[in-house]
Amino acid sequence: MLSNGPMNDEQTLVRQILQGDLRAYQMLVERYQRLVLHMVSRIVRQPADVEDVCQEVFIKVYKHLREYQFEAKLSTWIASIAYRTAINYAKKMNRLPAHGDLNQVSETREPSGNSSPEDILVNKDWKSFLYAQIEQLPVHYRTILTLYHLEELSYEEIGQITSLPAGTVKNYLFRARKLLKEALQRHQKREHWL
Amino acid sequence: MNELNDDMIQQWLDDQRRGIQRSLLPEEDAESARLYQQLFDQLSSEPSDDLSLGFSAGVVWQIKQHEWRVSERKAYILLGLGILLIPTSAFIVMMMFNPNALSRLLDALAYRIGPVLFGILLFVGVQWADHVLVKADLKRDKALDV
Repeated sequence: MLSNGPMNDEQTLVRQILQGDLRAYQMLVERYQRLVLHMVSRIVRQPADVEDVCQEVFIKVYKHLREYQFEAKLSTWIASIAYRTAINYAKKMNRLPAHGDLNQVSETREPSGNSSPEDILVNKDWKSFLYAQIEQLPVHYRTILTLYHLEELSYEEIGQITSLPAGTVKNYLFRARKLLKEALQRHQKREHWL
Repeated sequence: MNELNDDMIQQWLDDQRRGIQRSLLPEEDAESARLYQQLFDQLSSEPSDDLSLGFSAGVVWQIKQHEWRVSERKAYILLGLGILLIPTSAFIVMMMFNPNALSRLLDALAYRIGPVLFGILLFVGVQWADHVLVKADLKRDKALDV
């Protein structure tokens, strides 16, 4: 017989919270704070604002918990609130980059003839280079990469969070990874010639 | 490298992640596969940034504060309604059983409307000062303790 243990566990936790048990809510926060942090920090660029937005997300989750009907996984429902909150925050602060060209990763951080010593140092490390490239991607691409690789969610679950069709999610994921791979390839070639 | 090959390599690595066994990639795709593998490994590694240690307790404290404010507001509303209800019900009872006494009372009140209004305003003013000056300070102190 199949066991739906985690789902039952979630239902019990939600029921306890709805009965006013704030210790149970603290447990829920501890369980999902990593997911929310990953989502928010991919969208909100100012590190000082990230924790405030995470807090806002969990206060919204608490206020709207009665509306959660167990149709989706609790993590998916919380992630969708985190996504919307972070997007709205970034829009409000005018820090959300324009959609721009979805097929081009900006190369502003790649070494050039007049790069600053700091840029050169950053680009010596391919991991730092890669993170800088991820930061240059459009917000949908960054979010999808995080949810797929870090949270290991399916295309359908990512679609529920971002309100995009599963096919579009897959398309964006493949395009984002191809852009990053090409940037990495260019970077490694340049390193090779230096 | 054409786009189909890129998609195929990505699909191949996705399947590997899910534990699906696939045939080996052709030799000419080895370099791209190596780059994609580096990329996949890096994308799956946990970022170093973290929330503060007392984050969950902080969230719960914020919620408690919010609930406390809501219940305080409800208590003020109930108090206000109670204050209004007592004289109103007294008026209604007098109107029903002793209208003469009510008119005498209204006449008497007309002379003393100033002190009555002053009393009401004084009560509201004291409540407001208590809320803004004393309780706000207590909240600030509590916030600094967290």
